[in-house]
Amino acid sequence: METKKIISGNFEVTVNIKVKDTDNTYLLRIKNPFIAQNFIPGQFVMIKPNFCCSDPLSARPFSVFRKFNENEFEILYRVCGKGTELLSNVKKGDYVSVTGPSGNGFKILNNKKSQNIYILIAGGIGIAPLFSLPDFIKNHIIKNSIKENEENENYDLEENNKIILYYGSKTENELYFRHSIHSSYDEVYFATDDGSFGYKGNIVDLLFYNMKDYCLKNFELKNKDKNNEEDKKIVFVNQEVIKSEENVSIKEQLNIQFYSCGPKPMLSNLINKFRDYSLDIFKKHSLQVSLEEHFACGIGVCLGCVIKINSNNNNNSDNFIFKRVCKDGPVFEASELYNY
Amino acid sequence: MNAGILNKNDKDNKEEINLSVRLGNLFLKYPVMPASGTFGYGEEFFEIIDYSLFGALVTKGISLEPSKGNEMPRICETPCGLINSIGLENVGFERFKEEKINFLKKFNIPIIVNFFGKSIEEYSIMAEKLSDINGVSALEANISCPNVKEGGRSFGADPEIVYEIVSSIKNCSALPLIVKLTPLVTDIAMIAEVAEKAGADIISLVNTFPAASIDIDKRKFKLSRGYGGLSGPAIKPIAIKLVNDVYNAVRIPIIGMGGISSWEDAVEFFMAGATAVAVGTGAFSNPHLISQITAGVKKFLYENNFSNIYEIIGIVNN
Ligand SMILES: Cc1cc2nc3c(=O)[nH]c(=O)nc-3n(C[C@H](O)[C@H](O)[C@H](O)COP(=O)(O)OP(=O)(O)OC[C@H]3O[C@@H](n4cnc5c(N)ncnc54)[C@H](O)[C@@H]3O)c2cc1C
Ligand SMILES: Cc1cc2nc3c(=O)[nH]c(=O)nc-3n(C[C@H](O)[C@H](O)[C@H](O)COP(=O)(O)O)c2cc1C
Ligand code: FES
Repeated sequence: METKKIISGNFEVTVNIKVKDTDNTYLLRIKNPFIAQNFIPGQFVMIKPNFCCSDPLSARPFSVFRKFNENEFEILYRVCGKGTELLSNVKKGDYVSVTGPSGNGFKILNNKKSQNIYILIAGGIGIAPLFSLPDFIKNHIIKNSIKENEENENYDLEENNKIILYYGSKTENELYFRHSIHSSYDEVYFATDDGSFGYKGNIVDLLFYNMKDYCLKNFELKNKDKNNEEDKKIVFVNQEVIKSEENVSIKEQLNIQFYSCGPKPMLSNLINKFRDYSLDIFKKHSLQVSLEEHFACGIGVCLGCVIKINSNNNNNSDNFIFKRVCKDGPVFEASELYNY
Repeated sequence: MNAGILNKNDKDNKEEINLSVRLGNLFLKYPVMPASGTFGYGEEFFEIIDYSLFGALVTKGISLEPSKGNEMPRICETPCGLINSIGLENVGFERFKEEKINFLKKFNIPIIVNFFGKSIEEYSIMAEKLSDINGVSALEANISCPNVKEGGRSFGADPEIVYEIVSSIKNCSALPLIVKLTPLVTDIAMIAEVAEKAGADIISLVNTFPAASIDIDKRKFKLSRGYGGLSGPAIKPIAIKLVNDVYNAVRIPIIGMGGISSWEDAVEFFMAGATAVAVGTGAFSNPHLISQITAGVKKFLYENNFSNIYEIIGIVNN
């Protein structure tokens, strides 16, 4: 067998059911060991339920939600148009056309010498690409520590790695799996616009409200007195102070990674707040976002799905270049995005 | 995936049926290839499929200078069709030569380089430069792109300009020349004849049709440029008619395309007069399509007692 990175064919649907308490969200399970075993969270599959029919013409992209077992994977999807409507009518035992796993998934940048916090920020159906991330992070950490076993004796995995979820939506029933999702995280925060579940308001605001605590509450800061009010102010709040060298060295003890997916207004709000607070001046504190665009090919050949990325080439008359969401993304480092 | 198609008397079938075609001095083992602009420079599809049943590899249209392409949104779907306004984004001649051609050369399959220019002069400069690259098997001059104001449209619709472009390309390149026609002209047969007289070795058609779609809630065009080019199954019947018009007007071979999404569609194009076919939009939702068409056409010929593809080319007019 030749090895191809992406598989394409017609595969059997083993489950396609509406998610409890929702009007229009479904869980689709598909039999394909290759995708189940090889996908990275953030990667997607192109699915076409009507594989010999031309309307709708293109396959639709969906994040791989999770591996169900060695042979099956799942996607979580919301019905919002012709393609997803058709998909919702697919029966168990039917075949759908699938191509994947495609695109670049999330990257885990953990640092054994420091304490790691992984903060996931999801909006509504944006939980889909993030759902498998906690397991993926844990496996990644374990693999890495096995590799570097010898120096690792007094490294406490649990203590040094925290995974936190911020999950927001318009209303309660769009917070999928809100009663069971805790088990994968050290902390979970919910927000709904209408206040029907969790904090009433915007999930990004809630995150920034709590942001200053992450350095002070969860971890011991070396060199500084954690009860010192002055310290609280410097953390993520005042960019003047954050830039001073002394404080950078404090932050060096901490490795905070942010991962997000959600509707565009939420993502731009998040990204802009990061800029305002200068969080991106720490290379280690990366914010990775999974973006959406309309796809035609989904494999990088049609150039239909591009977004603007900052250009560091000075000869370039504009200060951006185009990149393909389907091939160069869908996960991008937020600091690369031009005017998002 | 494509295995099931060839089951009955597989062996005889393969030995007897000859799918190879000759397009001027270009020899193809199989008469099926990707359409320009839907195959990148060959790298992406290779992560999914093999090219062993491809007759040729066809690049995205290349220009002298790199081109950034149009603003978003660049694509939208219509019933059975896709409108694109990519704006001929491409890496430009230098990067193509340095970074892209080597990958394509690995396969020992003829390489067709699609290109365009901003002026008649630029077409011949490009033709000359491309001919100097080792490994290029044929050139396809896109004189029909409806997307970019200064390139494309006007060239292909004006017979005098078509004559001038084609003859000037032929003057500076010895490679087989495919001229890709714009479909939106009053008399495509006449344009094809002009291209033939000017020295074209092969005609390819159709390119996309100018088209637009409107979002009624936003009261705006769906694409940033307003209009784009329509491709996919929606254009197939028009493409069949145009291919047949050209078939009846010229002696040089035709590469037919426009909405092919099954081997049956491809057979229609052969019967209308195409010597080879190209597949674009159809391969987006089925990456195996080209190989499936090669296998399906072979099976069709076998089951209908034909021994080679030439027996069905233009059969509707015989
Ligand atoms: C990488 C990627 C991963 C995705 N993962 C998931 C997932 O896990 N679960 C899920 O439910 N959805 C996901 N989506 C979105 C999903 O692809 C669209 O909802 C789907 O294509 C809609 O198809 P449709 O035919 O039902 O709707 P259409 O008839 O095509 O459109 C219906 C409406 O939705 C809008 N729309 C369609 N596609 C998009 C899009 N890509 N971005 C924004 N608006 C759109 C249209 O403008 C229109 O208003 C993902 C998209 C991308 C690009
Ligand atoms: C996204 C896209 C990009 C294209 N780019 C080019 C191009 O660069 N040069 C060209 O000659 N034709 C280009 N075409 C036209 C195709 O080669 C083909 O003529 C047309 O799409 C009809 O075939 P189809 O219906 O099988 O796609 C493009 C088509 C699409 C859909
Ligand atoms: S959808 Fe075709 S390049 Fe991304």
